[in-house]
Amino acid sequence: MDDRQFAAELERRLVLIEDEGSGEGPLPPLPALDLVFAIVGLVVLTVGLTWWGHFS
Amino acid sequence: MSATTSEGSSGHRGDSADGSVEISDATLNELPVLREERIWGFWSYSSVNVGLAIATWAFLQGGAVAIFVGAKAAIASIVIGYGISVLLVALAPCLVTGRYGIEQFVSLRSAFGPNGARILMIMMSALLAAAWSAVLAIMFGHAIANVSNQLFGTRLSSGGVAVSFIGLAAIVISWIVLSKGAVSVGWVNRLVAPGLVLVTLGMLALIFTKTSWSELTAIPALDPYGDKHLDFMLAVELNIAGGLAWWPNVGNLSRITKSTRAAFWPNALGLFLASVVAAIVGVFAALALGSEDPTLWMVPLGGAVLGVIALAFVGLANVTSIVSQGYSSLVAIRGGGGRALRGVSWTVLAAGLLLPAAVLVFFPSAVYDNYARFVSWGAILLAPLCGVQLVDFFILRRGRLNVRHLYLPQGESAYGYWHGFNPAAVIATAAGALTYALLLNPITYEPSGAFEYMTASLPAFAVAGALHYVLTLGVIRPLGRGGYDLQR
Repeated sequence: MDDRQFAAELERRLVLIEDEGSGEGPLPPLPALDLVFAIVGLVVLTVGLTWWGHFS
Repeated sequence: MSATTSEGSSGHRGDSADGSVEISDATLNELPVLREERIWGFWSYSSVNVGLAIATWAFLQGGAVAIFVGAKAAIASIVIGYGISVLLVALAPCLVTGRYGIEQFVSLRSAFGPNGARILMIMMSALLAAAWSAVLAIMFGHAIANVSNQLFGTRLSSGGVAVSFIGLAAIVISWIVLSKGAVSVGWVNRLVAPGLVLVTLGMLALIFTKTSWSELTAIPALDPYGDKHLDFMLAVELNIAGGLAWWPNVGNLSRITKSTRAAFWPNALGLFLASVVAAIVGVFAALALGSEDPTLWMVPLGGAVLGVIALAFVGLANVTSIVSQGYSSLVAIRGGGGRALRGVSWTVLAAGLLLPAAVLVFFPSAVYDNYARFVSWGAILLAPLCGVQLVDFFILRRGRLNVRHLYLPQGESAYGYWHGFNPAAVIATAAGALTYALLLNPITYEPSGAFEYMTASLPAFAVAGALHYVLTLGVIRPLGRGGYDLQR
């Protein structure tokens, strides 16, 4: 692979990513509610299944 | 574990004479992807994840869990263990790579420095892939030996030299398929993944035609320590470690998702749910048939004809798993290896990747019969790594990276640290690994007293994350290293 080609393509992409008008910037972060939902769901599953599978 | 990345690109992923095809296809190298290259929404990434999860190692995982606990505790431990570990890998690396479209080992440069990330890439992509390939190749050897014993009346033993040579043949076949690039990888996976779903569901149906639920739950674990709570925690730890083993592969899949939600939630549907179902079927089969070796389940369950067909198919599925995993590792090695590896041909890299596995297959009992230890060797690194990465990205950097600095030479990059290494991340990871080893000896698999209250992976994760936080705020940031004050 040609290093110059690679560097040129990398620079083209970085310029696009840094240009706020290009629409190529980072995606919006995961909504906090999604994370809360995942963690709460996991805690509920853990408590319930520990009781069912281990203590009952 | 394996990855099926073939659908992530329309381009050919093998060698090209001038590299132009590969440059235009950012999913082949460490270039950040653009929006038009992000092709996976929720359902398409979920289906890839399901294909990843429904593989032969899910049966191995179920068989290993059955060593410690019975059916009910196994279900609980699998859901809890996979739930915890899949959440961790869905956060790091999936959200990091998904948000920025960067290769997962490139994303690690911000926490570990470019050289630190490169060493991690070699350790995970090369060593773990070699070890998993060896396990799968030996399982292939077991399957084919059992087919031969059933059809031709041979007496090939599971630890014999025949199994080693059949395993070696699996490695060679995998290398040939791998050398042909993405087209062949995609083809074999499209064939095998649905077949494995059928085998899994067929096994579940056959188990319940022979054994009732009450009988199944009354069957004791295969070879427990004898302490109910300790055995349950060992099973939980085994499943946390099994889930963490997805880390080396999933980041480069979520990289081409269209939204952070699409990078996050399919892990719950694919990696978590599908793995849980397959592993539970594995537990049921192991308990019902009294063996943790999946290659010994098919004939007793399905009879001579159906069992041999299923066994031959599972044997074949091991080859496709080696190919998928090898492919994903090669993409990472080529991308993360930078200039040094960019010019090495795909075929040669594939041979180099599979060579250690070709040696390991000659120690079939040592590799195959120590699955739990083997999984813990991965977790000893991956649990602290997740701790460092999560704290670094979500807490210390508040979810922001500067993409340009990830690619600048180490002398110019804010993420260059000292000689390309971040000592805080290295020390924190080592401390996490030491914590793991003190709680669960990775050689003897002997747990210490505190293990039964906290597992080994979770304290390793917490210690590494906390130490990285303290060292970064106390030392690295005041010295002006690490780019912690940089904006995007």
